[in-house]
Amino acid sequence: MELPRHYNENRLVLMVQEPTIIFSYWELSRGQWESLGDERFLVLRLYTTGSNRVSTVLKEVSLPPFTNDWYFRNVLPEHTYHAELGYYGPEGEFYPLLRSNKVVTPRTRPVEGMVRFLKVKTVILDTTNKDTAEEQGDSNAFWGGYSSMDLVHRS
Amino acid sequence: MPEGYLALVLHAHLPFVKHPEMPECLEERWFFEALTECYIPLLEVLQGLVRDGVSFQLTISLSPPLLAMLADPLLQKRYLNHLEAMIQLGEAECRRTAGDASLHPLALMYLEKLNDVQRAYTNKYQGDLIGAFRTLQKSGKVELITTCATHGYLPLMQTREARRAQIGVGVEFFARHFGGPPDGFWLPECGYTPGVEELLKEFGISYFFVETHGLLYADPVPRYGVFAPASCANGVAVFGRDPESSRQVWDRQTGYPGDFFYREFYRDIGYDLDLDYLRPYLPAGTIRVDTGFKYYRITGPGPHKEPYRPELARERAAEHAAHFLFSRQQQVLRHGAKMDRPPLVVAPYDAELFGHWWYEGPQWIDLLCRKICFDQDVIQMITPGRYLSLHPDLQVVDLPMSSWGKGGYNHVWLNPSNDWIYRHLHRAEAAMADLADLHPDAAGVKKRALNQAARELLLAQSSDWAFILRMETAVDYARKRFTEHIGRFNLLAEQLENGYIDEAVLQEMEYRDNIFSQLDYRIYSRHRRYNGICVGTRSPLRILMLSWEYPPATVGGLARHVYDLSRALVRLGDEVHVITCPVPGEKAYSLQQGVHVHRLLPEQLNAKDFLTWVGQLNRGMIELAGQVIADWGAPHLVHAHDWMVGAAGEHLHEQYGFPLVATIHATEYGRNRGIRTGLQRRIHEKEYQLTQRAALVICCSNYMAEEISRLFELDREKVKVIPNGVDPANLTDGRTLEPDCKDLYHRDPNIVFLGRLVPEKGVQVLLEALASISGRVKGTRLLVAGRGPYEEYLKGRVEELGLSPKVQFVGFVDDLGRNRLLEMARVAVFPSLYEPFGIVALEAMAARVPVVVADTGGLGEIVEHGVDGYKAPPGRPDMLAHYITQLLFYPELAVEMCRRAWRKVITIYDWQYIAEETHQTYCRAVARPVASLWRRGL
Repeated sequence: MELPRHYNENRLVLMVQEPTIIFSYWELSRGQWESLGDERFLVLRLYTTGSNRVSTVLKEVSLPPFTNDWYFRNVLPEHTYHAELGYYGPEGEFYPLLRSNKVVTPRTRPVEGMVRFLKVKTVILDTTNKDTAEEQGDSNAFWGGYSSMDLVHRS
Repeated sequence: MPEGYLALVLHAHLPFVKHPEMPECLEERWFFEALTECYIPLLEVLQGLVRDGVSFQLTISLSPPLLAMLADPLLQKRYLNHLEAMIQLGEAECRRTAGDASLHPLALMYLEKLNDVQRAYTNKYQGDLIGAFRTLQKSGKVELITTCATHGYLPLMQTREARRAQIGVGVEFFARHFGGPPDGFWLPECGYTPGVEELLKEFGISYFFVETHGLLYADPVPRYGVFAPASCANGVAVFGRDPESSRQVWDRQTGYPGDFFYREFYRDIGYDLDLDYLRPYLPAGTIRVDTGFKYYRITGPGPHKEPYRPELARERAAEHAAHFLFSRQQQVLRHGAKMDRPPLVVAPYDAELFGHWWYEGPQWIDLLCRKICFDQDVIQMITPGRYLSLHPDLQVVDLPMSSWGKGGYNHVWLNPSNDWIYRHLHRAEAAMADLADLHPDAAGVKKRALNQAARELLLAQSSDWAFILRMETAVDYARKRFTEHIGRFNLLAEQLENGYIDEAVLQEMEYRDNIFSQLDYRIYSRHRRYNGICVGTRSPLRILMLSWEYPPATVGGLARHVYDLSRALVRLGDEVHVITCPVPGEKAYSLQQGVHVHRLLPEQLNAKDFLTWVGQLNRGMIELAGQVIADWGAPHLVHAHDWMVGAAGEHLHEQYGFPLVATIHATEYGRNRGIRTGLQRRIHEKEYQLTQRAALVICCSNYMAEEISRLFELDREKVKVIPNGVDPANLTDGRTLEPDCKDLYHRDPNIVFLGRLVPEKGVQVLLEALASISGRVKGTRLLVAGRGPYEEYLKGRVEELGLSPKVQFVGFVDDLGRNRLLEMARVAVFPSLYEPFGIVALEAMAARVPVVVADTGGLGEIVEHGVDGYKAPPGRPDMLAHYITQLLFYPELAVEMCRRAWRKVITIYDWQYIAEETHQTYCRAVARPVASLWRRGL
């Protein structure tokens, strides 16, 4: 058995490898390739979206022929990224062919914030081997009102 | 009361390896070796502890593939054959080493152990190790949990459906073996990604584990670090792995297993002795493998090895147990001083470490448990579930992605040696969800094919393949397995698509990959029509639906929406009462396709002034609702559509206490791009009030959700996005041919626009684009359907741009007219500047016409650029022209997009799916307990 070389589908996918590395792979359908013509070079763009929801181009790669994946290195933790695969028109306009999913790179540092507790539902397994289920109420949440760092210092 | 606790967690997993098609298989030995060296010795240790009255607590995670292999009769039989061969090897070894004072006792020891294992397996357990674990669980000293169906690595899956299936199938499989679902869940490789907790909750799981930094980098930083569990916002508890206890066991250099007195794993007679001698015991008689006969101790870092001395190793195991205990005592004393509860040290390990790699590991566990029980009072062993019941107050945190792999994230399972697998896996995930959506009630061979497809996908997802591909050994086997499962999945998916299933091929697959015999493929459905044993029975609701318009009266899209939604809810089993305006020729009460329609009397609505009329409408609705309640009983909830009926909804909520749900279809602010007149302000205020009073607010797109939560100052959690649906049947009337994507090849290059002629619909942008399109595609014609205040201006622009021969204004069209227009279209274009949802785009997709839309509002959320249509930035005629030209110029491209769009319409925008989502939202508003787990029993 062999894996198919392609599925004749259009997809551009981003995956987080590490907080600072994003992997990307893509496939273009026959129709997309045909519409692309012979002389156009594919370009892969990585965007980051700020807290103001504005996306800016962070990196742009002119893809060597026959590439179908790419690693973006030196991205930042705790950022939102997406990519576009496209090409430049004769007037210098960028035409995206595909747009990827959004990924969020994970946080790599502790963060302070408001501390909140809730009471979780639990099932007590009695030592006499009898199962006694005890409902302890759903999220009787209360706000501590302290930042977590405060609490660490206080305790 | 101890000063603190230790939760020792052993995670036992092996990939599902079973090859009935071959007389023997090298890789099946992984399982056999683990049985002999880990699982059976571990069971013996635990039973010894129970027998001796040692008070201990241990958590064991048993993966579904491991359970499946333990329960498999063929593997049980093959294991006995394997044991028999190893015993013969042991006997040969005793003969061979006779006279060697250092090696002979070791050969005798191995032989004796093998005989013990054989006796235990055949006589005591009678092949049923799962039963032995069950007995331990009943003793109350061992808590059993499980993991994903095939140990799929969750952070690298793309869809929620794929994650749900991995978790759900795992939980159900465990439940079948142990009579109920587990309390806790082991995430494969500790791989967590945001959202996993929702799925765990869906299947009744109360806790899981993450790697140390997965908890320490949570937001906010946990007050007690990893020494107490925290809780996700949804109430599922999370335990963080303690790094110190982990290092003491795991670390290559400093960990206990590296002690020079312990047995050396890498010196096995399978590699050291003459091939001719070993031949009878090796796979195929030629392949050198580990035999388990290992005669040396680690000795030192160099190649020189001294013979193994079991009695010395045992002493070291005792010392290491004492050291481990001492370290835990120090830890809890150090941290307990700063905590309001006894600290908990969570120490999870791979079970296969104990006995296989670390030969003395089971002994160490034995000694550790005994020491903790008899030698001290500072710490006690505990299971996570029990700790939670003692200390259920948990800090709420938001977890980041993490895993326990090298580097702490996804590197091990995603790197240049294995990254190529994901394009196949992700494609299969999406295809499986589509298959489940498209075949909700499959039976017979089709059902078997769907179940087998799900099985093959699950098997391909096993984290083991990605892991092995990265290593130097067994790469070929992992590649072969991955390729076979994906290959089988693709074959089945293709056959299901074509409607012809080769039963002989299917049967062969079922024979080879027969894990999860009870699997139900519908767990992959986005529609969640799945009725597995873990999902509670659906409780029907009685809904009072308020809408000012209802068919046959339709002014905007509202009537159609309420009509489709009500019918779909009724099909799901809910009872829906619609209260609405009178329509000439319609009775005050009628039952229409299962929906109870109650209409006001015409004389109740006689005001000329708009707002007065609205007041009459609401008073009438309240009155009529009173009668409906008297006749039919109290509803569970009131659902109001838009501000016009807000007052009635609020009144019913206040008077009777019914929970109120409001759907906001559009806002006054959005329609007018601001609030200017007094009337607009009044309407805006009514919208504000309605959304404030409602328990939950529904809207049709993320864009609208943002707008609504901003305008009406709502917590984003309170706003639920449920897209509008489209019923493809409504798009066929009036056509001469059934819709078919292939027709695009034969049509004239007609561009169609449908919509009101107002500036925000953006027809002016399309006109600007037209000149350049018609320059490239001969015979291009634009058909503009709709009326509106902007019509004259647009006609003027057509003149100015010299486009008169190419543009035709066809005026207002009804449903039939729309369908006929779409039948002529090569492409439909919606260049809006503002659009809350954009149902017309969905209608075009349902009519098999490719679309180009402006990337704005809800419209942008419907289309996936380059996959099922194109999106141009709003107000950019050049980009719009480019994409329209591409679709006109390349029919194959247009047909591809059209096909994908159609698939989207019948899966994601299906009314049944939307009704199910709405029902879930109702349940949330009524605050009913959601899935009533296990009530239906097994």
